[in-house]
Amino acid sequence: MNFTSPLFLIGFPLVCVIYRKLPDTSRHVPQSTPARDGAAQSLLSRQTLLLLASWLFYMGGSLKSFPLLLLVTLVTYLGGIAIEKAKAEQNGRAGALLALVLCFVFGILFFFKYFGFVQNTVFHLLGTHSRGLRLPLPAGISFYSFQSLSYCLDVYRGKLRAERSFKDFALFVSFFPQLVAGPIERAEDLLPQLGACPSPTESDARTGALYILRGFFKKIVIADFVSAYVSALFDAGRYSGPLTLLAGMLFGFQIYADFSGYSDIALGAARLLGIRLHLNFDSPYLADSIRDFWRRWHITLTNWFTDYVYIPLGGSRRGTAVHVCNILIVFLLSGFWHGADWHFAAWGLYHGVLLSCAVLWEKARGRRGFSAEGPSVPEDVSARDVVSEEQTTSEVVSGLEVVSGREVVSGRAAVSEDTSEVVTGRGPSRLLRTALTFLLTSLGWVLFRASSVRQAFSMYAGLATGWTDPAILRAALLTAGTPLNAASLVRIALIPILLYLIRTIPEEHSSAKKDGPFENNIFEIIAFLMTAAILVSWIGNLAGGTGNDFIYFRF
Amino acid sequence: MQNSAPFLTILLLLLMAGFAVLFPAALYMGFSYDTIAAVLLVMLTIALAALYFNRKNRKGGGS
Repeated sequence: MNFTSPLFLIGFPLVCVIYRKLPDTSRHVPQSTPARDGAAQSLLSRQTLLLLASWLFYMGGSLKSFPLLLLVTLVTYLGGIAIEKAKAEQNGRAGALLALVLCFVFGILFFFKYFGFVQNTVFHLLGTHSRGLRLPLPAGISFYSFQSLSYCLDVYRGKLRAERSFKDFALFVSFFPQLVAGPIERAEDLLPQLGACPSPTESDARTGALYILRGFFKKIVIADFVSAYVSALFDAGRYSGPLTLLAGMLFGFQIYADFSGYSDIALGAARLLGIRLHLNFDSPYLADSIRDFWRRWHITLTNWFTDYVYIPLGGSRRGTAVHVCNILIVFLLSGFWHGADWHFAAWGLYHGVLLSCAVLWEKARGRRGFSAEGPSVPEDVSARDVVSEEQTTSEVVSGLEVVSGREVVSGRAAVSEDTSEVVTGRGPSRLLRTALTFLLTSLGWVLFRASSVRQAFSMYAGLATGWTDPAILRAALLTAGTPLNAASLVRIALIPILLYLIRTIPEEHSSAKKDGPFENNIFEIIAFLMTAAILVSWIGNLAGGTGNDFIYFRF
Repeated sequence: MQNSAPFLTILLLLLMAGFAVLFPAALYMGFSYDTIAAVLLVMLTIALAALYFNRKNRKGGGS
């Protein structure tokens, strides 16, 4: 769902209004009460409205991809029921059925996303000049296929009852706020909410609106603004140390503002409908280690890989060599998940190697796991919320498992965005670790953003040069026509400060009213200034022909 | 408006009126979108910092 499209900007408020007018069936009322009867008799339920809106919004963006979405929905829906039935009958077919569903969905994903890439690689190895098949990537395919597969896997594991209502299941797969770029939700969290479709409270509406405001602010004021500088630096042709480092850092801010901005709008849009989604980002550039970074970056994807790949492979329980191997496999897959190209795989491996080094370093120092530095499990997070049944407690803190931000649903354990900051402590050593982690992740972003591994390595090769002469950097920015005046420099310098200061805005708003008149009113001023900055930047982008689609739409 | 700070309410109204008048005026006078956005972002940073330090002092001073 492109949140900046006119269809969404006009259609979403309309959906919200109709949604609120429809009867609320979430409350437990006796069958005979008029409210219940009214809901049952209503032709249009909230679920139907959301499903129709989700499909309409999706078709508005990519009509040709819609049959594929429908097909994956149908196959995983029927697959879930068949797996549950086979398990109940104990006829030994459940595993085969699961394998069939997995092959089908991964087959579709492979065909549309990786087939051309594999063909190109084979042609390259054979030395032929043919080009592989280039198919347009269906919008959100990586996200909805992972989400629907997690449902089938959970049914197979017995963690979840198969959903009998096709309408509810189809809504789970295609719920519009998170269909195209996540967060990747779990059926156990989202299906009950979609089945109930509760009415949003006043607090939901305020928090949701602030999430949306913050999301648009990140996307339009930060990500779109910085994208011109990032393109100029990456297209420079000649690379120096300051240029490579600045390119990595600015792209780091761009992709964070872009993707977390999208996630914020998704969270806010769902919250306005009374539905709570998981946080996808937890201030990742405040991480004080690579492990910490992955607890905070794209949390729902990291959770998915942890639960369905890392733990089934054995996690950290089968010795150091297997542990390191598992980390490398997961990060390689994560790299390929982002795109069918070697530079994405290299980016994944880069993080896998960094994390493996951390594991080996910790083992060499003889420390047990990472419990000494990693965030501990908050007391109010139940074991089920954090970890699958077979996982040992040590893996919760030593593996890839994400704790912060995992729980927003149902208020079971609302972990605020800066939880880990509190847990891991402060001080100069933490500041140094944070700076080092930021430096390492910024260098990694060069691999991610470069058009090829070759370009990334030519940028890395220039790292040691040009530190005393900024001519290459200046030339790169000026030749691309990007403004290098005082205003643009102020805007660039304010990016990290603003990202730091706005990180807790939606969550803190709920307490502002009771905190006093100053807090209450300063929030109104902040909201106004954010809106004004969005408006000015948006008009500026339109006038300048800049502004881009969300980066994660490509995945 | 019982639960409000009069100074900040007046400031908000001034900001809104100022933006409505000054944004088109600034464009007419030849200021770039970048410059106007930079001024707004500086003001936003000050407001966010005020909230941040107010929260910090409150937490520090509380029992």
